[in-house]
Amino acid sequence: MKFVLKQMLLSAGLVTATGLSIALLVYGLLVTHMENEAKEKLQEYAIATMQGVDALLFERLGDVRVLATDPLFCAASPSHTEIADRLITYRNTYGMYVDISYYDAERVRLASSTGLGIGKPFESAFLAHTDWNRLLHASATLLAGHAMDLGKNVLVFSHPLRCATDHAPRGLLMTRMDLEQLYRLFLGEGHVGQLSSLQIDLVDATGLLLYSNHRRKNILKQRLEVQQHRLALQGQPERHGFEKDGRFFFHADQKGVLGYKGDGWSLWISIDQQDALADAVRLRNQVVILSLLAIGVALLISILFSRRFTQPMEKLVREIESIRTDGVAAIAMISQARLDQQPLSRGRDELAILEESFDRMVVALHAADSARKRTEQALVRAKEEADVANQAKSDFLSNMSHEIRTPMNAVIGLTDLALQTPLAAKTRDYLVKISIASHTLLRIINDILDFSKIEAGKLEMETVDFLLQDVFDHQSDLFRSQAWDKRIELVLQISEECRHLLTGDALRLEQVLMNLIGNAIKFTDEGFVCVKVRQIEATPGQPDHHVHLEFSVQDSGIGMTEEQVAKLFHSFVQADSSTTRKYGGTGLGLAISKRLVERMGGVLWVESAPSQGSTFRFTLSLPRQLDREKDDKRKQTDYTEVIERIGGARLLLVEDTPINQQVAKELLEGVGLIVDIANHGADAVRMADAGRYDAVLMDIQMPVMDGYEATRTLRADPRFKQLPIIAMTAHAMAGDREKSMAVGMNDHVGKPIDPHRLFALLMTHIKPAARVPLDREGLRQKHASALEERRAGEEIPGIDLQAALGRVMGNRTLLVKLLHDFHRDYASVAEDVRQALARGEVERGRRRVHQVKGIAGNMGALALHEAAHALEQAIQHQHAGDWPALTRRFDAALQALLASIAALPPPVDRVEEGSAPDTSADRSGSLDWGKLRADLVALAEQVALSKYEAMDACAALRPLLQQAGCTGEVERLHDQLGRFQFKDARTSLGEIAEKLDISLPTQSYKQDTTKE
Amino acid sequence: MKKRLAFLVLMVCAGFLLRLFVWPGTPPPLLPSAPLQIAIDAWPGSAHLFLAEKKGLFAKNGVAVQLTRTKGPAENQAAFKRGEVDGVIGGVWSDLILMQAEGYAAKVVYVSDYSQSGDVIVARSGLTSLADLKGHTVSFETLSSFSHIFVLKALESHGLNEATVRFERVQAPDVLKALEEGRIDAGHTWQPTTSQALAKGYTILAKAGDFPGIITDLLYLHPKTIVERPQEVQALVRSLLEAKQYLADHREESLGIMAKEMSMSSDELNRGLEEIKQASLSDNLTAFSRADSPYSLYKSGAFIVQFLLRRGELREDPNLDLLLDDRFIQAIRKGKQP
Repeated sequence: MKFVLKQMLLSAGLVTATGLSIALLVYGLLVTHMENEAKEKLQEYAIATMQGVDALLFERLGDVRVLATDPLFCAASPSHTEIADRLITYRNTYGMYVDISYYDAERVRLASSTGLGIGKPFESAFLAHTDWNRLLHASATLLAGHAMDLGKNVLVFSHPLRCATDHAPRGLLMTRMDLEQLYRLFLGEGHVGQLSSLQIDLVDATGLLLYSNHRRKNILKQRLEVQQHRLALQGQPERHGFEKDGRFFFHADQKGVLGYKGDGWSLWISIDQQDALADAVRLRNQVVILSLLAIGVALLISILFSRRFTQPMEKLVREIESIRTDGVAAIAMISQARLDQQPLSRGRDELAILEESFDRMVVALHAADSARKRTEQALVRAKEEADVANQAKSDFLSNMSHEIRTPMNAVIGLTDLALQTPLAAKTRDYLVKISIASHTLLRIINDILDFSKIEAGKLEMETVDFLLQDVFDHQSDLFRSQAWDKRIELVLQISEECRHLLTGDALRLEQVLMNLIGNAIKFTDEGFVCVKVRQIEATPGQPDHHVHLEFSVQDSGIGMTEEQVAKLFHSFVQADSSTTRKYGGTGLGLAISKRLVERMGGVLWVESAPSQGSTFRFTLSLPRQLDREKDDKRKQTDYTEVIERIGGARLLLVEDTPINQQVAKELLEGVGLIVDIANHGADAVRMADAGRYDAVLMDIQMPVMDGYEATRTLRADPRFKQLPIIAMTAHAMAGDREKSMAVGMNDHVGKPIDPHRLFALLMTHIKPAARVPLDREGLRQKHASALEERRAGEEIPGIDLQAALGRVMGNRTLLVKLLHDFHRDYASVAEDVRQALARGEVERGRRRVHQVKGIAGNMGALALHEAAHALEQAIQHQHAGDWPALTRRFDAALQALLASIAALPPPVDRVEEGSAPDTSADRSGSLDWGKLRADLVALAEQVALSKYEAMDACAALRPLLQQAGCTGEVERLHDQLGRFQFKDARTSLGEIAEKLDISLPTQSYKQDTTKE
Repeated sequence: MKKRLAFLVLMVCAGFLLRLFVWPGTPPPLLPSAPLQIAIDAWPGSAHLFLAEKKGLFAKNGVAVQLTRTKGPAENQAAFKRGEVDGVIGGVWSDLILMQAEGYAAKVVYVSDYSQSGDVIVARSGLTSLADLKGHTVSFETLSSFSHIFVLKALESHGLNEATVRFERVQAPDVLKALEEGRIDAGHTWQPTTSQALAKGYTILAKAGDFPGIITDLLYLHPKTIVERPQEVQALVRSLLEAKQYLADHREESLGIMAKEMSMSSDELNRGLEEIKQASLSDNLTAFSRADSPYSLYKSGAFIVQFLLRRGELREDPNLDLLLDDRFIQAIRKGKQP
């Protein structure tokens, strides 16, 4: 309901209620009052009129009494003419009587003032209730009747003429008054006379109607039954009469005047109730009309007034409504209108204040809106500027990262180089720390580079074929030890349908997984990290030949709140800053991951709740390489093509572990490659310089000079810019591959070596210039027999014979020989490691484990490989608490393998034949590590005891050490021993031992450490 | 729009209130009224009213008049008292004064004629003078009526009064019979009884013309009618004077018209007209004036009032001005018509 209407109704209600109340009150009071007054007036009228009648009659009776005393009437013999003259005189004098007559005692009219009826008897009609004699003997008497002679109704006042001389009345004097004379009494001026329904009846004692204003024809002819009226009057208050047949009746009896007691006349007046109350009714009507008018006027005023103050209100409502619908535009319009319009000169009522407040509000809103718009524009400008700045920043970062990387590589490379020189332990420690810090820094810079590349839109995605299994294996390698360290179960599952050959940027996929898994492990203190990939339904619009994958990395870690999740993917942000402090990291990982996934056309999201763990999921849709899958299968079973394409090419194998050297050599020579072996990076550089190779297979971790350094050195030589160098990475450290690429390697192959992948890579990279002629048929036959050998071979416990034989081209004899070699060389490796770790020779321990890991991998000793990997990781990450357990596990796996090898038949000579190309490896193969170790230990004991013989022992050992790449160190050691500087010699010896990964006797090391 | 409506409603309310409290009387009729109702009998002095009607003078002057024919002055008066007519023509001045004393208001606007030989006292043969009536019985019509006044005035002129003459009340048409029965010796009567009595040897002792102004015939109206319809009254009076003029100018034609309306012969009417004196405009001016003329209504009125006062018919000396309204006559005089 509208406000106006409500208000009007309210006003109307109030006014009506008030008006009606007042009207009713007034009506009640006034009408009752008026009714009573009307009644009283009528009653008073009756009484007053009757009193008038009384007075009139009294006077007239007095008149006749006086006239009767005229002596003329008692004269002895009066002349009738004389008497008539006297009567005329009296009549004219009084001016009241129609006639005055003189009767004799015998009823005969003797004289009259009218000259009518002379000599005629008094009319008997007047004597109905009396008789002539009674009139003669009475005093003044009143009679009423119709006078025939006059033709009028008259009142007759008679008085006997008593003369002193007479003994009896001589006659009667009668004055006659027109009955109509009474009318003037009744039709008095004033209110009552106006009442149309007023009925006045004057009756004598007998009820004879003397006067009536409503039945004149019956006057003196009708008698009224006034007795019943008298009865009705009994008990009624005199003033208010009584009611009968809708009329009020009032009554007045003749009381008489002075001596006159009246003649029993009574006056009856009656009036219609409505007429009597006409005034009251009129008043009532007036009150009702007035009330209605008042209500009407009040309503009118209320309408006008309410319009007056609802109009602005309606205006307000309209304006507010328009603001609601049109918003800012309306505000501007209203605000302008308000400013333009003159302020209303209205009273300061609440509405005016409201209106004014609204005006101010609108103006303020308008101002605020304008300000907001300005701010918005400023913001837009600022954003544009910021975008430009951000772009500049990204470019800058991208460039800077790149620029930083170059010197960083120099730092890392030079540090590594520096570490290869004989150094004081302290300096070495510094350099090691610099190296570690540099790598960390490089990683961070790589992150930043990635991120800025993504931000700058410069990230280019590669398209290579890969298997998810490889990706997962890689992740497993990366994180297994880390998970082990934290006692977290790391589970990686690939559902069966995901084992397709896929096309995409595997490196980036691995980067994403690495980030997610790394995070999961980082933020999980107990429980598990579960990495899964499964195929999902394609969303519409995706190509048919694509495989739709959902990766998930689930952990049972600390989880995140919704708020944290919301901020999660922002750059440089971790769940919260305290997390950053506790767990470290740049905070770029997730942001990069998310962007990478998006670049690859997927979506990354997280499901998490505090202390409920987190699940990161991302989807990818990658093309499936059906044809290539078939190709690969074919390739796996056929080396013919490999032999055809790269057979006869020359290859430099850089590998420090003899067993691994043999495995790789066997494998590579199996396809007709000519293989030279370098024991470490320095060897490789020297040999590359001397010979001519089509490719280099470079191990990374080697004594004397590692793979990175060797590569850098080679690449520094213009001749080797184009030389394919393929890294053999054991994935010991995250970023190894990136690092290998960064230093200029062309590709990488995982360890243990997957022959198929290795050959695929070699076929990609090798473009042999001049090939050595080959016995291709022989090679083919060899492969065929190798296949048979692999099929026919019996099982060796703890060895994946198939994989192992695959790597040695099915050369079972060689494998057995290698296993025996392993048994011979590494029987005590567990103890070695344990001692190294116990002594704090962490790096040496790690190298030993790394060697075992590599060999175990190549020989298919999976359990040992796993154990070694875990231990290596623990050592690398300095989780010293885990070392004993992992070492025991490592030892157990080692012992199991050794037991298996011991059960094998002894190696046969055929091995020598089979490894005929070994002669080419004599240069390096002649280095007897066992002898070197034993001699070095002996030397160390002599040096420790400051024996003179130590100088000779050193001289004897010099060729071996030179061969092992420690030329500088051995010269310095020899020099120191020559000058009996045993203390310095011990340091140098320690450095040599460390470089060569040889553990020296405890006391000598202790001396070293105590010295420091 | 709404405001205007509200204002209108307010004004109507205010008007209603004003009407209710300030002017409670009946508003004057806004619509053309009904024709003026005039009672008329066969008195020759009133005949020119028929002439005015038949000659279209009323229509000409813009008044509608409807005539109510009666048998005589008593009926005229009764009809007036009952409110059945607006006015009466041929009413007698004394009756009017008496009627007013009884409480019936009326106003004279026009004097039509003075009775000359229309009212006579006829007597049996042998009585030759009014003086001869001493000790005899004389009749008049009604107590205190113009008849009573005329008779007593006539007797008074010869020294007779109610003490020296006996009276009987006899209606004019019955006078001849009463004379013949010997109940009366003389009596007041008029045509056609007058002619009949004369034919039978009765003699005329006196006629109204002997006492100028004693019987004056008038047109009187309800005061209310005069107040409410003055223009119509004016037209009526004007028409009557014009009719008188027409009668004077075209007597024969007029007699024929009037006689027909009055169911008598032109001769009868002509005789009747000869027994009265038609009141001209100047006569009217005299009648409404206080001039020392017997025809002045004030003059004749004074005698009538005294007569009535003595007999208790009037309680007080009435203000005759209240009975007379000369504005219509005056208006015609000022307009010098006719």
